Amino acid sequence: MDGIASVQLSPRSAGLIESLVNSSKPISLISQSVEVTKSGRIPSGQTEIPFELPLNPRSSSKILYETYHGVYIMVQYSLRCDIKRSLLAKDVSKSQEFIVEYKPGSGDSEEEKVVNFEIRPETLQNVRDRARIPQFLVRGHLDTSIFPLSKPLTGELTVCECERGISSIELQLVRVETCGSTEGYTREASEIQNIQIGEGDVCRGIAIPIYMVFPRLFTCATTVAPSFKIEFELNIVIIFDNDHLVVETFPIKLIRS
Amino acid sequence: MDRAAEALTPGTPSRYPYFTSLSLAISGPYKPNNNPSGRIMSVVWKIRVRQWGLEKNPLIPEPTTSHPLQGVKDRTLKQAGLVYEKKSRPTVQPMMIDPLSSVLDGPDPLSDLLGASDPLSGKAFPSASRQAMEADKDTEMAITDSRHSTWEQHRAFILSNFTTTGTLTFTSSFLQPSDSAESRAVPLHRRVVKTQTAVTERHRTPGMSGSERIRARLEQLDTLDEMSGGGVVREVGGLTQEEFTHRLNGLKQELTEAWQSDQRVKALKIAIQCVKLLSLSVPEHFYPSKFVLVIDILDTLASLVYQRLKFKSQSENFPVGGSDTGKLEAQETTRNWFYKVASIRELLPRLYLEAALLPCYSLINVQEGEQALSRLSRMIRGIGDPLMAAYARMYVCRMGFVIAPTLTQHISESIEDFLHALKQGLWPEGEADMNMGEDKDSLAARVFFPPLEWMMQCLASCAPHHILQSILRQCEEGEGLGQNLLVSSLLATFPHHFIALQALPLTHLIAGCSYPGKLQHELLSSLGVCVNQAAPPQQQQLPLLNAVWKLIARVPNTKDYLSTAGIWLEFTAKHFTSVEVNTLLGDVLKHVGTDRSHDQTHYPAMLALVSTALTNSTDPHSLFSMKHFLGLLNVFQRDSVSAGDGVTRGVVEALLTHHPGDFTDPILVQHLLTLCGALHDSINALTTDDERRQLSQLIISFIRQVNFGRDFEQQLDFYVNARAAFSNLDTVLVSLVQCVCRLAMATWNVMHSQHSGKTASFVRACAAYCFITVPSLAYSTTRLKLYLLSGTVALINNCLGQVEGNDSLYGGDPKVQQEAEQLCTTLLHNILLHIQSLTGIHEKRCGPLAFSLFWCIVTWCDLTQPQMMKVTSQIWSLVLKHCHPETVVQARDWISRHSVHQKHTSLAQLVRHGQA
Repeated sequence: MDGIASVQLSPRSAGLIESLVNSSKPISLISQSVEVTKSGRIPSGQTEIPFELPLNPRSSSKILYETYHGVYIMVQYSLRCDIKRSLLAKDVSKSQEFIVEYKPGSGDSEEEKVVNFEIRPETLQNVRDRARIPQFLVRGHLDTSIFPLSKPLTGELTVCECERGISSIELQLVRVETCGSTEGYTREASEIQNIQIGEGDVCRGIAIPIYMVFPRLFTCATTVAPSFKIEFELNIVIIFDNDHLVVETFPIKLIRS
Repeated sequence: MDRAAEALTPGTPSRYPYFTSLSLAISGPYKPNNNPSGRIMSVVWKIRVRQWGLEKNPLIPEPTTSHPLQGVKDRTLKQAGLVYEKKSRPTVQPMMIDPLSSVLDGPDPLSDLLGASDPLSGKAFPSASRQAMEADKDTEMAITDSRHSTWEQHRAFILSNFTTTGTLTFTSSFLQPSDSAESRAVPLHRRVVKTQTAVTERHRTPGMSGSERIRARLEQLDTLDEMSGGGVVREVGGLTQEEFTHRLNGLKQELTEAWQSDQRVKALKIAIQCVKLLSLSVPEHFYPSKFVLVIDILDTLASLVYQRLKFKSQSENFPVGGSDTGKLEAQETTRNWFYKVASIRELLPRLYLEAALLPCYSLINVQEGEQALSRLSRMIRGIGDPLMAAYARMYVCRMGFVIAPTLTQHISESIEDFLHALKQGLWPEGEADMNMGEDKDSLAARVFFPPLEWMMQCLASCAPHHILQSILRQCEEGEGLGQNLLVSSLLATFPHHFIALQALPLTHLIAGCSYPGKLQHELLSSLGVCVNQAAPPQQQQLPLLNAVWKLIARVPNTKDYLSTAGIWLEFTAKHFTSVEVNTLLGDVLKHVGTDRSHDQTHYPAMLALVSTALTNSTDPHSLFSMKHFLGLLNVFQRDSVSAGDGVTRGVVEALLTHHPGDFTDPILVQHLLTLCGALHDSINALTTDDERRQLSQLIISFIRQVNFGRDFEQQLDFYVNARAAFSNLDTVLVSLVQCVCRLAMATWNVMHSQHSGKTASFVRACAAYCFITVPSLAYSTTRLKLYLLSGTVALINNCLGQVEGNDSLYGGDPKVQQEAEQLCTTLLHNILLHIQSLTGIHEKRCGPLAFSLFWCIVTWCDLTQPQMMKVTSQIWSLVLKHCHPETVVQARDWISRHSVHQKHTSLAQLVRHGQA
C-alpha cells in the first residue's frame, strides 16, 4: 500500500510554456507505502482492515500544499491500494483521491488592514486615449486584504461623481497561476467568479456594499511554492453606459482560517 | 249592507261587545222546483241573534322561555352597532322596528361570507414565511391590532391598480415549444420571437482569446443564471397583460413540477429567470403588478425549499447518528443553497433569491439571517433604477418582517436610501413610458407609493417612538416627491395616537408639500381620518382646526373640497360646539354656492356632511337652530329633481335618525315636509312595491315624530298638510287617520271628557278629517277598521253626527233587516236550485256546496224557527247524500259538542236522526 502526492503542470498550457511543461516533471510531495496486512488468505465475506499513515512530507524541504485543482496547476493526493496476488492472478488495484486542507488558523496571522482606494481617470494605467474617459470619482475600501476562505469578501464603494451614466459595477475574482522554474515563468489569469454589485446608473454618494462569497470549488489558500504560485486578485469593474469599462485590480490573499 | 256583511264575516270578532250584530229574520215564499228528493221545499232565512261577547273565545297567554325572534333581535342589535361605526350611511333604525326589513338591511348570510376572511386566501401566503411567523404569535397579534395590512391586501391592491394596455415582452428559456407566436394566433405585425444561443452577450464577440473562452466556460459552469444546457432563450414580444400573466403562471406550474420531479436546479433556474423580468422597468405603470406576479413564483420556490430543509432537519430516520446527523445534514444543504444563490452573477436575481431564502437561516443560525437581512437591504443601493430598487426594498422588508419582525434598523435605512434615490431624479427625461396620458408626476407618485407604504407600515408596527420621530424629522428635511410620499405614507400607516400628537407639525408639513404627487387635500383627508380616530391634545385642537381649515378653504376642486371638509367636519363636531360646526358649514355653503351649476353632482357629498354633523355632534339639538345648517338643508330643497337619486331620502333619514326627540320647530317641520313631499312626488308607476313601502315607513316615522305639544290646532294643520302632500301612499294616510284619532282622544283627556264649545268643534274637525280621508283608501278591510276606530272615537267625543258610519246604528234598523232577509232568501233559493241542477259529472260538486251551505245556516241562522230547521234538515240530507262519510262524522261530532251550550238540541237531534 502507498500514498502518492504529486504536483503536475497541466498539459493544457500550450505555446509559450510548452518547453517548461516538458521540463518540469510532477513534483512528488509525499510518497509512502505501508503494508497493512501480511500475506495470507483473506476469508470470504467482508473484511475490514484498519490502517494509518502519517502525512509527512517526503523531505524536510518539501511542504504539503492544500489540494487544488486548477487549470494549470494541480495538487492532488491519493491513496492507492494494491493487492498483490499469486503469479497466476492479476493484481487488484483501487485508487481514491483524498483532500488535504490546512487546519483553520494554521496560516500566518498577518495584521488585517483596511484597503482604501480611490479610482479617478488620473489613477488609471494603460489608457490609450485619456480624452475619452469621462470624469468620475469612485471611493471605497476593502475591509482587509487578507480574507479567510470561509468568510465573504467585504467592503464598500461609493460613486462620488460620474459624468456618464453607469450600466454596471461588477466584482471579478481572478485566480492567477504562475508556473515557473529557473528558466523563466508563465502567468495565467482566469476569472473564477463575477458578481454584479451595481446594476444601472447607481445613486451617487451612497455606499454600495462589496460582498462576495468565495466559490468553494475554485478557491484555495494563496499558495507560494518554489515552482508555482496560486494567487488571487479582485477586479472592480465599472462599465459605463457606452460599454467602456474601467478596471481596478487588488491583489488579495486568501487564507484558511 | 255590504259593510254589515263584512262586519259579520266569521273570524272577525268584534272588539266592541256592545254592538249588536245584524239580526235578520228572513221569511219568504219558496217556489218549488225539482229537487233531488223530489219534495217541494219552502225556504226561509232567519238570522240568529249573536252574543259576541259571550261567544268570544278568550286567548289564554302562556309563559315562554325563549323568544321566537331571538335570532332576529341579535342581528338587529349587531347592526345598530354597525350603524354607529359607519357614520356615512345612517338608517332610521330607532323609529321603525320591522324585524323583517332589519334582517334584510343587516348583514345577510351572503354578505357575512363576503366579509369573513377567506380561509383559502390565507393559504396563498408561503408556508415558509407563515411557519416562521407562527413562531412568534404575539407579534402577529400585535400586527393585527395596528394598522398593518396584510401582504394579500397589498397584493390585491397592486394587481387591481397597476395595469397596462400596452404590449409586454417575455424572455425565458423555459417557454413551451408550443408557445410560439403562431399557436397563439398573434397578428403578424405583433409577432416578435427572437432566439439566441446559450452564450451570453458578452461572449459572442468574435475572436475571443483563450482566456476569454475559458472565462466564458467557467462562467457557464459556475453561475446558475445562464441557460440550461442547450437551452434556447426565447423572447416573445407583443404580449398583452393577460398573456403575460398566463405565461408567468405557467412557469410557476413548471417550477412546482420540476421540483417534484427532483429537478431542483431547474426550479431554481426558472425562479431566476422570472426575477430577471424585473430588471426591465418599463412600462412603469405595470411594474408593480409584474413585481407581485414574480413574487408569487419566488414565494413558491421559497416555501418548497424551506419545507424540504425543515423536513430534512426533523426527520430522524438516519441509520447512524440519530436526529443530530439529520440536522447537520440539513444545515449543510441549507448552506449549499446559499452558496448556489451567492454565485448568481446578476445583482437582481441574487438579491431576490437570497431574500426569498431568508427564512431558511432559521435552520442554521438566526443571527446570521438577521445580518444577511441588513446586508441585503444595503445591497439594494446597487440598483440604479429607483423603481426597481424601491420594489426590491419592499420585498426585502417583507421577508425581513417574516424572519425578524422586531428589527427596524434595516427598514429605517431602506427608507433613507429610498428617499436618497428619489432625490437623484427619476427615470431620464422622455424614457418613461406614459400610460394613456397620465402625467409623469402622478405616475411617479402612484408607482412609488406602495413600496414606501409597505416599509412604513412595517416600521410603524414595531418601531419605538423615537424612530417614528426621526421619520417625522426626515419628512421635515425632505423635498419634492420624496417628502410628499413620505408624509402621505406616514399618515396612512403610523399609529393614530402618534399622528394625533404630531398633528400640528404635520399640518405645516402638508402646507409645505408643494409637489403635485399626492394632492394636498388627500393628505389632509388622511390626517383627518387619523385625528378622528385618536384626538390630539386639547390645547392643540383649535390651532389645528384653524390651520387645517385654512388649507381646506383653498382646495380648488369642489368635489375634493367637500370630501375633505366632510372628514374635518367630523373632527369639529366631535370636539367643538355647534357654533364652530355652523361656521364650517357656512364656508361649505359659500363654496357650493359659487359652483351652483354643478349643484346636483355634489348632493351625495353634502348629504354626507349633514349626516356627519348630526352623527358626531355633541349637541345635535342646537345644530337644528343653526343658520348654516338649515341653509344646507335648503340647498336640497331647492329642487326636487334629486328626489329620485336617494339623496333626499338620505337627508331625511339622517335628520330623523339623529334628531333628538320629537320635531317641535315649525320651520324644521316645514323643511322636512317639503323634503318628504319631494320623496312622495318621486313615486311613479315604475316604483317597486318595496320602495313604496320603505318610503311610506320613512314618512310615517317622520309624521309620528312631529309634536307641537299642546298646540293641537297646529298639529291638526300639520296633519291636513301632510294628507295633501302624501295622498298617494295609503299606509301614510292610515297612519294620519290614526294620529288624528289620537289627537282627538288627547283633547278629550285634556278636557277631562267634558268638551267646551271650542274643543267640541275641534274634535268634530278631527272626526271630519277621518271621514274625509278614509274613503280614499283602496283596501276595504282597512277602511272598515278605520271607520270603526274613528267611529268609536267620535262616539266617545259625543260627535254623534259623525258616527254616521257606525254599523250599530243602522244595523238594527228593521228596514235594513227586511232588505237583508229578502236578499238572503233569494240567494238561498238560487243556491238550492243550483245544487239540484248539478247532475252527471258535476254531481260531485254538490257535496262541498251543500256542506258549506249547511255550515252557513248552522252558524248564522236562528234554528229555533221551525221553517229554518226544516231547510236545515233538507240540506243535511244533501250533505249525507253527497259528502264523504268521514266529513259527515266530523261535522256530527262538532255539532254534538257545541250544541250543548248553544242549546241547539233540535240540530243535535237532526244530526243524530240522520245518522239513524
